[in-house]
Amino acid sequence: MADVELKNVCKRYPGSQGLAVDSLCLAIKDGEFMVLLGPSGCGKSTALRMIAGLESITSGNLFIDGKKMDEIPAKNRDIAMVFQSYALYPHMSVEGNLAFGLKRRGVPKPEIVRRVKDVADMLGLSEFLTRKPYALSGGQRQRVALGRAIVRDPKVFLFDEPLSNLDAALRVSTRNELVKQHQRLGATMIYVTHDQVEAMTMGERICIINQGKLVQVGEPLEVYRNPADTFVAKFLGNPPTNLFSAHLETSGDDVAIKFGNHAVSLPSLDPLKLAPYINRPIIVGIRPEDIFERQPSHLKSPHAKISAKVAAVEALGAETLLILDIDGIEEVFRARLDRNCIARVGNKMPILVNTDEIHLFDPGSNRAIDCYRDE
Amino acid sequence: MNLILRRWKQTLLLIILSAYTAYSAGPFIWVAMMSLRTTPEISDSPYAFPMEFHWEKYKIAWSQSNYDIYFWNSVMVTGIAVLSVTIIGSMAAHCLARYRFPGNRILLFVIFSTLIFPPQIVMISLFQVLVEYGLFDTRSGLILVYIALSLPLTVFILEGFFSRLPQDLFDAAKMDGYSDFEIYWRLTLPIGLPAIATTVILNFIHIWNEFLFAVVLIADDSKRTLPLGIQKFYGDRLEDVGMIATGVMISVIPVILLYVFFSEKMIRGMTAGAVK
Amino acid sequence: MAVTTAESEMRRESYWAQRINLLRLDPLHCRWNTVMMFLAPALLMYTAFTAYPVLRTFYNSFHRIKPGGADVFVGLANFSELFTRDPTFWTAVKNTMIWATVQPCIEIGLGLLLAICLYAKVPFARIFRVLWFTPVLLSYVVVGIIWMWIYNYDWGILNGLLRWIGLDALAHTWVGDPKTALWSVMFTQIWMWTGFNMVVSLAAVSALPAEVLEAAELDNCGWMKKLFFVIIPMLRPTLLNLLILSFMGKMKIFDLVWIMTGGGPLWSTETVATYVYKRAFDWNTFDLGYPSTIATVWFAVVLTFVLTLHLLLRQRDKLEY
Repeated sequence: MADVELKNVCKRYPGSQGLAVDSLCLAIKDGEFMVLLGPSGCGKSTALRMIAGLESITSGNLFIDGKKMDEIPAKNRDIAMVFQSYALYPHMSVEGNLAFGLKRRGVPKPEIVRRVKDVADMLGLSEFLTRKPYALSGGQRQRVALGRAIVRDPKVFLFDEPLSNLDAALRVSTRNELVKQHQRLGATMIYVTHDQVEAMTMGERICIINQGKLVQVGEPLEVYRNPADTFVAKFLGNPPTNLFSAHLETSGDDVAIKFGNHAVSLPSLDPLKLAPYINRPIIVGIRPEDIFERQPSHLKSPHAKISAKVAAVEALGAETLLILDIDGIEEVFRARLDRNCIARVGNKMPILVNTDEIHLFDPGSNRAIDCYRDE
Repeated sequence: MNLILRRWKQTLLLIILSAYTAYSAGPFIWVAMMSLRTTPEISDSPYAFPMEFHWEKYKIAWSQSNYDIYFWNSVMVTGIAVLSVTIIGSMAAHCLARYRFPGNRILLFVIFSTLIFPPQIVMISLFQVLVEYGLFDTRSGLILVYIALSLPLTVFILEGFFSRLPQDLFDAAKMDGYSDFEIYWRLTLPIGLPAIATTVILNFIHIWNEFLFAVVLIADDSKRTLPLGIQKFYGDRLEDVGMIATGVMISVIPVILLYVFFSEKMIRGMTAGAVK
Repeated sequence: MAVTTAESEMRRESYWAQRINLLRLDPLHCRWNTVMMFLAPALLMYTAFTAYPVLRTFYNSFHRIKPGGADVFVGLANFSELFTRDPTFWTAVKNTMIWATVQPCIEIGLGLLLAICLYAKVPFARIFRVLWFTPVLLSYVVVGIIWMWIYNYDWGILNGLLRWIGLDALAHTWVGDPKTALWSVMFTQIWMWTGFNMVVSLAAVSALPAEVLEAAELDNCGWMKKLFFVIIPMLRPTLLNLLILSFMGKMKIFDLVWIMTGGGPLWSTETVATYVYKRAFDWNTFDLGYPSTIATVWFAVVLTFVLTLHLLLRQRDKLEY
């Protein structure tokens, strides 16, 4: 097991203008399950491949267990990787696939047999040992790919979107399987995905990457509750955070945001911290689940009332999603209400917003503003 | 350290590969050089770079040694044969790929199996057939033979390509009122152009360079194609190395010119079907 | 339960009528006229210039055929003469078989190695590929003449090179010596065809899924190990194709031999193809029957070999990843 550290790692592909990975600084602790999350093409797979040694590092340094790994070829880094397409050797049986890496490393034969058997039992592959990949289902191939990595007992496990080729039900069960394996093995695992559900459920820490740059690192719930910028606010959460422009003003001791003919007072916010933004436009973020029809009994935090008109209703059974027209907000505004909500298109519906969970973002840099009063 | 080792390995690899390139291209360059020198010059120093560029040798070979006749024969024979086999083959391939009828599979199998036949199995009887029909020692006879020889491969490649075209396209055309022949002419041919280009290139190279059947079926000097012409030249004037070299270059230059402009297409065309 | 009379009527419809029904095409799909329109020219050419000649060669092999005279039926006499009293034929067979078994291995092996070199992203890879392919485009006549000059004892490049580096003793009459003639001509053909094999191998290797090769890299495989354990097994279908193509090409080799040695010296480069030609058109007894016999026998041999090769070496499982 080992820790992995990237210091200012950059990657530029020859012939392209921009950097695929831009000054990535990330420290992954020994035994941690770190998820690299981001949209397609953001550079997370490139970063993973640089850790693996399959891509060269343009500038910056990579350390595994304190040793510099920049120039060391992939085969000597003692890293195992599970590929998106599983990358099984099609001409070898399952047993051959599992044993291949060990054979090439000169592990003695009885040891290979023992390890292969252990892993096969662990993953439920014992009955398939003699089959070739083409005779296996997607889920079974995935398990073989995982087994191939486990049997090598490497320092670090890398996963490159391994679940994206599986159907929904299989994805859920395999997700749980992977978390279980991590708890069993206690190994350092770095997992790349674009699916936020996977990230939220599997990661001990998640790292959001956008356009090659690291945007935010932290525990899943922490990142969710306190997004570092508008990108994270919009990326995490389904339906996404509602973002809109408003005018920040003072109203007595507190600050208030003005949009359309609404003025919402935000008592939990600290006017001193927001001093540079007073009387200027600001970006406001409200999550759909922080919007209510009537005061929820368990919530004691302050609420603001905003008048709205229902533009669309999606009754999903377990919950109801509304798209609301609010004066002063041009962007689409979504609310997530419980299943008892009765709303019709065109109804006027005042909503309550939990003002303790409102996020403010700097309109120039899109970064979150630390604006809440310290308790 | 690792970087230096890698550089060394790369340099060594480059040296080996360059040596192979010299081996590969060297003979050709040697002949090119010899084609521009007179035979006495060559006897003196066989490998030297031409001091004087004797371009007039090309003219001499062309006009005095019948090279113009051989060249035009080749052009005519190859041109007509390639054109004909493309049309005939594409029609057959279109039919076999698009229409279901009893015997479709059998016909395909029969045509494909001919690809394995060694030419000797038809060499003698074709000779007999051509003699009996008065086509021996004629360019037309040779053209017909070439068409027949190129058909299997052409149909093989085109049928493979045509059968992968989506049937929806053709159904739409039928509903739009196109006749069967129009569908072939206006739909299959334009869409199938890449595959047709492949077969044209393949057939062109094969027929331009074809030797065995030309030797068997042509006797008269005025009907010789280039390969035959060069062979005769070589046989007649074994010692006139300079002139032979020039003659060789004349036959090779058209192909090389095409290669310079269309190298990628030609490489792909000639290796089509071998990659699985 | 009870079979109605209508059904039993249909069942009694004659066997042949049912068969002929199969030949009726759905007019909405296509008509026989249309099919024939497209197929007729090709079928005509094929029948007249391929199918009929093949059958005629079979016919010839049982006859003695003299110019101007009638064909004389001799039964199996040609065959028995071929198998028992024709040492030249067997020499030709031996030469051709050596050629067809040794050369494919060399040219495909060399082609594959060169393809791997290019695949490993050597600089100038594209130029190399274009240059190495050039010999494939040349006519055998041209290639033959060029290499006759290279092999020339007095002023050819090969001997010149040897003399230049001091190995005078090795300078040889490459094509004139029965012991070296066959190998010299083979070497020439390798020069020609390695480029072809290289291009095909390169295309096949490039089509391999990069991730499987990367997985092998992580499994501690350097280039040699990757080649043996992963690349070659996965390239099996293509390599088999190349093998069959190359094998077939060597079994019918004529042009190169004809130009360079004409089958000599002393039958050392005689191949079945050159022998058939000689017996048919260059022999003092003008008989087309006997060479047809040789052609028929050889046809059977080639077919058997190709089928056997294919059955033995083909990939039985699908190579799905």
